[in-house]
Amino acid sequence: MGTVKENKLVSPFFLFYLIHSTQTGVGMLKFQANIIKGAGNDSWLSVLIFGLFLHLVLWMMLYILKQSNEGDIISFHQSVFGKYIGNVMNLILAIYFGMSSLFAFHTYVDILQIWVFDGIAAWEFSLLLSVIIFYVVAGGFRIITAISFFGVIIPALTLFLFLYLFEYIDLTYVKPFFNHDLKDYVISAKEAATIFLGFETVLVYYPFINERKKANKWGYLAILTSTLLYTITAFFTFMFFTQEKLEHLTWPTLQMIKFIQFPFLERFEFIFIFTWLLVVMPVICVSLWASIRTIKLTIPNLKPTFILIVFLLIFNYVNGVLTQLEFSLKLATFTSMSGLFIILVYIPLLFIIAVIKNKLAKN
Amino acid sequence: MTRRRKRTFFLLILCIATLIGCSRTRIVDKISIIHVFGFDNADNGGIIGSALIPYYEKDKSGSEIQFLVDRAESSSLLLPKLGTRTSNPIEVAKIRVIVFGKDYAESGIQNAVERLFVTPQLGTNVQIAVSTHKAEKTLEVFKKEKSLTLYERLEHNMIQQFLPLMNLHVFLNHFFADGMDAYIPTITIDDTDLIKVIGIGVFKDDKLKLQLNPDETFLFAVIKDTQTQGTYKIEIGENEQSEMFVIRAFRSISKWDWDPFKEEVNLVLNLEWTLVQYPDKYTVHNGKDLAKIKKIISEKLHERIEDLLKKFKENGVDPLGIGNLVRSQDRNWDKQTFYEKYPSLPINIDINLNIVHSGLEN
Repeated sequence: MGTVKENKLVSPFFLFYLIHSTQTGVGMLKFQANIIKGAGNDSWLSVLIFGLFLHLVLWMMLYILKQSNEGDIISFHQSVFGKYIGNVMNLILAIYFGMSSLFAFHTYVDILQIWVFDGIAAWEFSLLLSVIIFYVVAGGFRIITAISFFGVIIPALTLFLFLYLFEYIDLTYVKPFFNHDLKDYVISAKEAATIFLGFETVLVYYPFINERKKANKWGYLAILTSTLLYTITAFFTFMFFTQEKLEHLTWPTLQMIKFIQFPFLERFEFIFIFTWLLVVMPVICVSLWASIRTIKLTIPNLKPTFILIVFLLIFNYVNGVLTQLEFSLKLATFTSMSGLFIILVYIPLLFIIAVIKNKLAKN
Repeated sequence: MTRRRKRTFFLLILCIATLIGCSRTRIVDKISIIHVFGFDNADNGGIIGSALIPYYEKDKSGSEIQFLVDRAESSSLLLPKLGTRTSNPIEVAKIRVIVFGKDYAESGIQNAVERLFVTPQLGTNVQIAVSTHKAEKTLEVFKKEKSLTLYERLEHNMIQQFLPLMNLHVFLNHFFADGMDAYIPTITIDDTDLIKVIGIGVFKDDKLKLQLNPDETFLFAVIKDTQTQGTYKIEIGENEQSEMFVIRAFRSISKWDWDPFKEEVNLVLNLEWTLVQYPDKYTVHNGKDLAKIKKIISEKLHERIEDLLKKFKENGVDPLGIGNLVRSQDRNWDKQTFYEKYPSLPINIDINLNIVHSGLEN
């Protein structure tokens, strides 16, 4: 273990910010509209249960990483599947990370166009944000950690805004509790699962955490925080809107934020959307960085900066040219399905392999 | 390190250049901000939209109001059509009031709600009103007032007068919900050509069904809101012996409860009211008199609230959200079966009246 130099490591508690910031993204602004498809007013429960279940997934991930040579999934793949198949697996994983980064980027540009600047072409935003992404990702893992840190701390202040909205909530909208079938809860959980995606990047950046044993509890705490945040937001939204109205809304969180008014500022959601850049940035950067690192370790001859530029070119092409609605929908389905596949099927599979490997090593 | 610094510098320059390149300014006197928007039915099908747009000029006193009318097949086609008449691009972001003509509201507002009301550009602190005349006519009269204060006119009547609190959010919650019906303020044109607030109109599904007079609106607001500061008159007796009480509402808390066994709804109203005027023969310092006044007012109130609820039931409208209340306490609630039984649903009213201060005692 320990190919990462001491001066590139980050303190254990940063794992909290890294995991939490990658789990919160654009999904926070719209997930309520999706999860009600199954259990309606009870779907907050699905969010809670799925979030608690993710602790198990994280535990599996950490177990897998413990069994690997270098402390990341790249070396685990190579040692378990051999050099060639392992590298193919790594590249597939890298493509997935790249896609999820692109997806976060694409949706944020989409929001900017829908809510704020309806007449401005997507490539302009895309180019502007690319400059920032280039700066952050080229800066290395410690810069990314810093972005994650501020991506949690600063948007956390906006939570106080919900105090403004207490005047309008009505508990009767969310009642009666628990009046759905198990099947409905499962449908809601499936819709809710995608909002938690992003924390699987821990598989790649884990070697960068100092004193890993201490760090694990921060990881679990991060997932718990995300779970509670999503559950409370969902519950609050269900008290704020009637279910039938929610079905007509695409961006429930933004619709709530719209209510906040100051004498000097009529439309607060504009500021809120720009604050959200700080929430989206860690998702984009951590995934992109994870993708680049995976490629770099698999094909050592490629220069990381070169990979980054290629990625950004692809991102700009997609954001600027492939703006059709069908493409956005396909991208969303692809990312969420493959993400679910990874955390629900692939990780347990690797976990079983890791257990067997551990047993064999002991004998 | 100089290479790194050069790179950062280059990025900074690029950032600034792109940022400035992206800015699109929309200065307030270079756009046409719609202030009031009206909907009417056109004679040959389609919708007539009307809008009031203030002109901001350098000279503050000389502000003009532009009045636009056009006809289109759907509400989403109205704005581009109106835009052909304005000197600046039309902006809907600051619509303050949306006015429905009576005919339009009675024939159904689904189209307007689904096309216009859910656009992100529209704010949420928008008031909606239905006019007893055509919206077009109402807006024309309003233009003559030259004040553009319809929003404020509705708002202060909600906070300090008899109207129940309403805005686009409350309206949409009621409009879409299964167990509630929407209600919006009603306005009319009075004899002196002023726009006047006269009560609320209640929708059934998307059609205007029932209009409440000011007294009924006051009672409705008392049940619906906790803070209503309306003034209300109670008269008892005939002609010459008639006694008149005037009260001013201060606070009212209504507790709804559904009894699943008896299948009836219980409403407890806790009222804190101020006595503004009462007949000379009573003195409020006298405990007996006070109890008597309370009894008279409560009884009369009980009777009138019952009439109001009966009116709702006869018309099959549920602006109070009784359906939603029962849904929240009964797991087997079903919209259709509930509203089939709704006209005969028993509602027990219990009034606890507290007189807080009279302002006239000495």
